[in-house]
Amino acid sequence: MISANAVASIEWLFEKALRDNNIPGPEDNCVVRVKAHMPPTDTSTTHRLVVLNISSYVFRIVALFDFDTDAATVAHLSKIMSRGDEIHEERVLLDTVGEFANRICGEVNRGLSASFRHVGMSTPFILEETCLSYLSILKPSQVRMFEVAINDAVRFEVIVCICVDSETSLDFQTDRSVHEETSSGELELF
Amino acid sequence: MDWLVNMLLPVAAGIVLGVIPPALYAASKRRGFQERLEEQEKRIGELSGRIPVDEVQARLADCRAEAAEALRQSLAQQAAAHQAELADADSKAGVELDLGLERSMAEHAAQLAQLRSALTSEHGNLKSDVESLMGLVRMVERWHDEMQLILSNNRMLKDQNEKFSSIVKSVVMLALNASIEAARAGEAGRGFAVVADGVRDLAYTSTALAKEFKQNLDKNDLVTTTTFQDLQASGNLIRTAVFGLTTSADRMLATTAKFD
Repeated sequence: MISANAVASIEWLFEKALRDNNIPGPEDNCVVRVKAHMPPTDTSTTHRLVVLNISSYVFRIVALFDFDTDAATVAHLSKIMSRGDEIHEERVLLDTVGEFANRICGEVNRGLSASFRHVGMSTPFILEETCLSYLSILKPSQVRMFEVAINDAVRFEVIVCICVDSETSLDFQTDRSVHEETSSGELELF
Repeated sequence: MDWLVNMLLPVAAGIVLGVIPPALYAASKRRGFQERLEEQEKRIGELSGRIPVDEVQARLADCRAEAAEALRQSLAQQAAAHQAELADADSKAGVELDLGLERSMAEHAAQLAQLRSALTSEHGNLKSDVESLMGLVRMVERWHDEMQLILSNNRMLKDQNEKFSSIVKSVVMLALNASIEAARAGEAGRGFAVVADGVRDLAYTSTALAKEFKQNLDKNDLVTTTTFQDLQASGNLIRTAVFGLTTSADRMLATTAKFD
């Protein structure tokens, strides 16, 4: 059982973290849209799916970042994560998308820490994109899909599954004024 | 002559009647005044024997001063006596208080020493438990290695499944060619055509099975990875909570040490 306030708070924390971590310069802009439906699974080999978990005693959030590793996205990641040409190596690219997802979830994790004394985060893992078709197996109470567009040139999707036991009640509200003041920037180390 | 008498007689009677009542009234008034005069002279005589008012006031003032002085002296004596009693009581209370405080301080010092000793001992136990709990990190690392084995095994199964799918596709092609050759052979190839169709059906079933197998491996990847991540995140949560407890325990111990 998850309240509307709790869903709205988690949604807001992800939107904020995605915006905060996707604007490399003042001339850039980032638009985050909440999508009503899951995107069709793209099984092309250029896609990378990064999965990350945030857990507490009462809930679990599984965040899946679906990147197309086309030239524009790789260039954006390189700029955001301060990588050089080595990003074109497969191992470095996977590390970079993992760190990028880690940075966003780290900010969400810190945001949740204001409402929950004990929250923990996992390290990122890479999965095949076809796994997205089986999210129902995680029995999420709520699923939110975000489409992130940077300068209208780079797009990627983030799927957030909020899992709460049927016997547990999750209700909280994030103090948005506090989070607006304490801007991001810290790296979640792993 | 008679007429003269007759004329004077009423006059004389009038005079008599007009003079006598006032004379009687005046005599009576005079007696009253005489009595009042006598009474006042008597009172004057009485009053002239009394003490004058000024002297009475002076004497009263002396009496008051004497009474006030006597009262002041009595009060001063009482105050001095009370002061002495108070000083005595104060002195006794001070001594008792000092003794009580010393006793209380000694008791508290003993209790504090006992508490400090218990806290130090508990802190030692807590440190030891925390160090032991930090083994959780190694446990999560072990789970990580085990999960990598499962994922690696899944990848191997997927590779094998892809090879299997590729073989099945070849079998389908072979079965198709066999059907064509059987058709060319005419009546003689009829039996062979049945076999080729059977092989092709088996190949199609195998393709569907391989697809299903791949889907199950994908589900397996998702469940294995997210379950491990839940364990890993929970491990981090516990580790942070334990670090918090250690910091609190250290702070408590440091606070008690300040009173040494």
